[in-house]
Parts: sequence; structure tokens; C-alpha cells
Amino acid sequence: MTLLDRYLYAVQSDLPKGQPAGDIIAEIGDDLQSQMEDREATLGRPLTEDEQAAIIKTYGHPRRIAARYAGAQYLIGPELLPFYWSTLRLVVTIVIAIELLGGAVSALVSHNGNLFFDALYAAFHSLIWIFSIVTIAFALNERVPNNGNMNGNTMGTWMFRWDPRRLPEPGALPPVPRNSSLAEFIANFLALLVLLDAGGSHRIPLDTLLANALRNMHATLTPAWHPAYIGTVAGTALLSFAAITVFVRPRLTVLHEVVRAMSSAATMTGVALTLQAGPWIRPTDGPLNGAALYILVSAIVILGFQWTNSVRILLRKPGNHTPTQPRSMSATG
Amino acid sequence: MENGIAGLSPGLFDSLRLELRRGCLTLAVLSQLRTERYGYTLRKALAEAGLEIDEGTLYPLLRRLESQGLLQSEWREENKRRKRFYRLLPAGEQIYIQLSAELQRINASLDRIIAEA
Repeated sequence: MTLLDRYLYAVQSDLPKGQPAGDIIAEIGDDLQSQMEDREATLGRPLTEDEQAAIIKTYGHPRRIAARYAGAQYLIGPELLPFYWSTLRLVVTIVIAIELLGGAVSALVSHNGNLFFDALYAAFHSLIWIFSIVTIAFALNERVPNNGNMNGNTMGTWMFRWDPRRLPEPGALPPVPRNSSLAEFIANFLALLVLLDAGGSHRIPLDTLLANALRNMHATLTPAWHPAYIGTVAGTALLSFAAITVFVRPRLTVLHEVVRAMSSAATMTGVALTLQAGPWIRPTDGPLNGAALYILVSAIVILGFQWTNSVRILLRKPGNHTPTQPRSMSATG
Repeated sequence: MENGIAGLSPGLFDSLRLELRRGCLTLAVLSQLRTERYGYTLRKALAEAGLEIDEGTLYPLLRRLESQGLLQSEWREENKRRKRFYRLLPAGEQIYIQLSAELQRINASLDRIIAEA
């Protein structure tokens, strides 16, 4: 078997399925044979094996040559890829959040922690399904005949639908990412469930743990904590509302910040009233009162910082929200 | 070819040159196939005209143009070897005329733009 035969066999092995391998190999073989004949005519003698190898090597690696006969070499092309990632993120966020939230609520209501782990397991399975379905949908869309125009098929029409009038102004607050707002909602909603249940019964682990810990130290909470409790419930409810609102409408960033500022203010007011109403732990002369004072003051500092941050974002001049401006914009004004 | 310009990535010139050449190669192939040729002689004709094209690019390009209905091919024996001969179809001729006119328009515009720069 000659070097040329071996080369052609290697190319043929790597040719994509569905290609007329016989035709392609015959054509490549003829080209290489013609090159060798030309070279022989120039030199006036047959080529050595090294000279043949040099000509074949110049032609290119068999796998690379074979790959050029393939159609689309990618599963999802560069134009669809950003839409693929954003769709995948959104669908994963929504489905996983619903499953985890459902699991967490079931676990809290039935006081059975295993239900949350069941939901976690189901979420992992969903992740694989979502990834597969979204990827297959986009890969199929990539291959639907659309006359070279991605807007030509149904999915393309849906994805590329946009209106210049609905684009955000350069100075506007950037939209809140949906995964961030959903995480914020879940955290606050679960905290709210725990807080509300803790107010009414002694079945909640948090409350039980706290009561047990204090009982072990022969201590109890005083009614001075009521304002802090009410303020925290109000603040958490406001944060849940803000988060779910921006999840539905990510561009309502101003409303989101306003409600976050209100939440910080509500919680801070409650904590401040509790601070004022001390002592906070019975017996009042123990070291726990000092610890409670430290916790309350720290909470006020943190909440004050959060409130200031929200207000600062709201009062910022419109132009300062974007770090850079396109040259054409700054040039025109 | 290396661009040799400090601060630029080494393959940048080659990559831009490849982009610039891509559309021109199709036009050049269409132009040469107004006369029937097989792959090797087509490549030689293009190289002699100063437009070298490697085999790994030419044959898939010919196959694509044929599947688009611009060329037709036929296996025939020449010099005791079977060769695949390509020729422009009438649709390919039309496309060639339109692309040539477009290239001339682009060239004229570029000439003006470069002269003004």
C-alpha cells in the first residue's frame, strides 16, 4: 500500500457520515497524484518516499481535511448562543426555585426535613432534563431551514422580537438579574414563614432551639423584643414583595430599591424601639443582656448601612449608572 | 504571515486576511469555471493568476457551490485517470455576473474611501 493510499484511507475514515466518500476520496487522490506527477516531471525522475510524504503532509492532517466536508460543526451557533444561555439560566432558575421552594414549604409545614431533601433530589433530575430539552430545542432550531435568515422560523421570530423604543435608557438603573431576585425572594419568603410560625407556636426548630438555649442558661426573653420582631416581619415581607416584583419585571429597579429602603427602615425602627425598651433578657443582671445589646447595636449599624446604600443608589445622577458611554453618545452631547 | 506589529495578537493579520479573501475566492472560482476544469487545473489556474487556494478549501467549496445549484460536475477519464470536471451552470453564470458587478462597486467605494483617508 502506498503512502497516498494510506493517506486517503485515513481521510475516508474521518469523513462525516452522509458524504459521498468515494467521490471525495477519488478527487483528493487525483489532486495529490497530479501534484506528484508535476513534481516528477520537474525533477525528471520518480519521487522518493520522503518527497511523496512532503507533498502529502502539505495537503493537511487527514482529520482536518475530512472535517472541512462537514456542515455545521457546532451544536448551537454563535448568534443563538447568547439566547441559549439566557434561556437556560431563566428556565433553570424558575424550575429549580419552584421545586426547592415547594420542598422547603412542605418541610416547614409538615415539620419533616426529608421533604426538602426529596425536593433537592428532584431538582437535580430536573436540571438534567432542562439542560437536555433546551439544548435539543436550540440545536434543532439551528438546523431548521430558514433561508439563511434566523428570523425565518418560529423560534427565531420569537427570540429576535424586539423594539428599539423598549430598550432601557443608558442612564437607567440596570435590570435586576432574575436569578438574583429569585434567590432573594426564596430566602426572605422562607425567613418570613419561620418568623410567622415562631410567633404563634413552639414547634419551629429556631424558636425551640433559642428557648432551649436560654432555658439551659436559666434565662428568658423579655417583651422588649416585640418591636424588633414586628419590624423584622414587616421588613422581610417587604423584601419578599420587592424580590418577586423585580423577578416578574426586572426593570422595576427603582421600585425594588425604594421597597428595600422601606424594609431596612422598618426593621431598623423595630430594632431601635427594642433597644430603647431594654432590658432584653431575664435575669436582667446577667451577661446575656450585654450580648443582646451588642447584637441590637450591630443590627442597627448593618440596617443603617443597607438603608443608606439604597438611598444613595436612588439619588445617584442618571448618567452615573453606566461606567462608560459609547463615543457617538458623548460626541453628540 | 506574521503581522509583526507590537501589541497585536500574532495571528491577527492572517485571520483578517482570511476573512477578506473568503468571498473573493468564491468569485474567482466561479470566474474560472466558465471554462470546464477539474480541481487540480483550477487550482493551478488560480495560483498562476496570483490567488493561491489550498486543496482543503477548494474541494469543499466546489462541493458547496454544486449543492447550491451554481455548478455541475462530471467524472470523465483524462490521461488514463478519472477526473471530476466542473462547469458553471446558467444560474452560476448569473450569480457570477451579479457578484462581479457588486465587487466592482465595492472596489470603487473602497478606492474613494482609501484615497480620502
